[in-house]
Amino acid sequence: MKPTPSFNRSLWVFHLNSGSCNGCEIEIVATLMPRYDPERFGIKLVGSPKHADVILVTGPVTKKMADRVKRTYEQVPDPKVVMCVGTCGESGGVFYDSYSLAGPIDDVIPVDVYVSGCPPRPEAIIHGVVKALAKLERLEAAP
Amino acid sequence: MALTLSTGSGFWNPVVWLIAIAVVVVVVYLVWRRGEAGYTAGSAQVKPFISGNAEPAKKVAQMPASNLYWGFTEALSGYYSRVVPAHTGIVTDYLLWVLWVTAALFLLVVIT
Amino acid sequence: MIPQFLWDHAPAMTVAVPLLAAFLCPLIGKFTATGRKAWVLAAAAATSALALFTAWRVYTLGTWVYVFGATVPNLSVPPDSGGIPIRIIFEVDAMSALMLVIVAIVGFSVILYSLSADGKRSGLEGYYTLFLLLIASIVGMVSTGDLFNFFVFFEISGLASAALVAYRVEAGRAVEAGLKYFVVSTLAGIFMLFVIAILYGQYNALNIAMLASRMQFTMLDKIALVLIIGALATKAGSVPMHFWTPDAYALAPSSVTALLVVASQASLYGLFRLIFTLYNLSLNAATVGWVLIILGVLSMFVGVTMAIPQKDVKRLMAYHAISQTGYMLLGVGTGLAVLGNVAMLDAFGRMAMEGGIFHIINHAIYKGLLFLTAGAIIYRVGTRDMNRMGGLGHRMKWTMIFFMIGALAIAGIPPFNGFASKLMIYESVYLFNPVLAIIAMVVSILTLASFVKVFHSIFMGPQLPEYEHVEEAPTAMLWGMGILAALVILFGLFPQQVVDSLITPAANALLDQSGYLASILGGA
Repeated sequence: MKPTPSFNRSLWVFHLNSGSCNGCEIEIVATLMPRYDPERFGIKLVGSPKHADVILVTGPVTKKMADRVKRTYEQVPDPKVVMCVGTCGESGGVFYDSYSLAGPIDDVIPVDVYVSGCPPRPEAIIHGVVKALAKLERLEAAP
Repeated sequence: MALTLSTGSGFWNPVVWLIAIAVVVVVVYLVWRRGEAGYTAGSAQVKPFISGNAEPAKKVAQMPASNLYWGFTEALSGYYSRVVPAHTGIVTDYLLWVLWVTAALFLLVVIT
Repeated sequence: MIPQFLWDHAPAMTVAVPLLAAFLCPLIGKFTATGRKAWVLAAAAATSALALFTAWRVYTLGTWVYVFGATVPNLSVPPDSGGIPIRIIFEVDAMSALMLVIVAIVGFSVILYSLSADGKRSGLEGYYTLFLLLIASIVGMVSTGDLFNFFVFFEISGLASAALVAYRVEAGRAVEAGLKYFVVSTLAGIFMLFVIAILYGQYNALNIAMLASRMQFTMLDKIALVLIIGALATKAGSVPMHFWTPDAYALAPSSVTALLVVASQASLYGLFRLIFTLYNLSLNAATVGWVLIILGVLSMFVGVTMAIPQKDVKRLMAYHAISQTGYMLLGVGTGLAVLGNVAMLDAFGRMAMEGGIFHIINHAIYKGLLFLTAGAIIYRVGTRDMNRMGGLGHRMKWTMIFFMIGALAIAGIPPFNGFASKLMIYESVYLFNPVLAIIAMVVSILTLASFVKVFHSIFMGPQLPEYEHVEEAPTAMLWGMGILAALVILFGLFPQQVVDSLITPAANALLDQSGYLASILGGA
């Protein structure tokens, strides 16, 4: 993956809900609103994964969503970053070991950045974005 | 050789139009080339995004021609419900139409 | 370089050559089938060449009067006749020349197409005979200056067309369509016979110029006028007498359909010729003009709205043919409505007439192209039902390109020829009455909508498994379509040349009755 310089700062984000309670969704929207204003860096939500650089996955992956999460991940063009928002995606969160889960997110798709919290505060999500940018710079530096 | 068609109140020059379109296309192409390819052909990235669902079979997904303008025909159903049955297919009805229209024209042209 | 024989006799030969060739077809076909194909192609080429030569001479040197059976071809009023033109006279003025150009172009392309489209069918002895006969009758209809002669060619074209529509005997429905066409055509013919009887009974003449000079517009003449409009508008396919058009056009073989379009336009030519040259200002121009305009607007609107829900591709195109005929009626009707008012005539009346007449030739070319592409698709796929077609763009690329050119032209999209003539009609009719122009534009948009539907359902979409075997159309068909497509593009890129050289003389010839009379009656 060979990102261009503008890629590093202006990331277009696609949000994918794999069964979450919507708490993380509300926090993601709060992050994008004028109070923290990442839109001044060019970070915005897009409606189609084919326009996206970053996939924000929330929620534990339910059995019905597993196939669809995988297909959506495959349809995002390279280079891409997967960010898991909320503890549901890391371990199941409050839905730990439920009968309807297909497992935490990294059983379904490879994840680059984890943002913990239930739900994580906007500052935590921004910290996750910074980590994603740092990771991208590392990938860019390495051939 | 005049290239401009002039109607009484306007003009139309197709060669100039084509040249203008060609220039615009060239500019658009140059801008488009600066973008990134961004996808690998032949992988799953070329498939359509249907909220993550699998693409249905070709036969199932194709919209047959009769249904393509359903909204239009539904909106004009008051018109179509009268005009379509008038096309009966019975040849004597066709002759009646010719005769009635000629009769109406009689009244119009001969009397006025 | 050009033999004197042609300089003297080309108008007659343009009718005689296809007529003779038609009746020699079965004889030649008895010995060799490929010989018959070559014969038909040669006859079509010869007819087109003669028609183009006649048209060229008329455009450069003026109206051509040809008298059948006189000592010299232009002896229209023999010295011992008392001032009456007594023989059958062909008067080819600029408007007739335009129609000859149309027949030349479309006739040749269609026969080239039909050699491979219908080449494998049986019953060809009669088919090519009727085909060439139809071409001969159309040439006769547009060249003649005699009313009864017009009726004769009108009936020949009706007979030949009906038989050609019914050519696919095995499908049953085609025969029914041919019967319907024949009955309606005969009714129109009977009306024309009444008209001839009325006019002959009053004025003792059959020559159009003679009748025009003697015209007094009595009550009987008004009745004759109404019958003329009724009969010829029916044959041209204008609403509300259009019901035969979808049936006949859909079920005829596609090459025949393209020629039927030209035959309908020849009837439209007859309507304009009789109204403008026979009656001219003696009739109530405003009323008759508005009659043509109303017929035109109805045709446009009903034609296109009935086309949208169709699922048979040729039936849909037939409705569009009706709709486009409405444009011609609208343009020329506007010109007629302001015929008495010289100021308005110069401001927009001439432009409207030129638009309507330009639309005749444009329509013949792009409608012919569309029907030929539909024929190519039906030839390969085997069905006319659009619900069962799909994804043909993967295999039939040239057909798709030709269809696109035809569809964009009929919808009036620049830079094709449809846009040029429609622009002329819109701008001039707008000055006459804005509502009419707005209706015309809305109809144009609906035309585009309808052809987008056809294009999508036939060519777009994934390759369907049942059409894996479909290949591109045969070469002869592609060449036939290619000629018409090239003309669509050419006329679209250089509209002013076409208007200046072909259309304006034709419009002036229609409007100028005295010039027509002077050619035959010698300025008397």
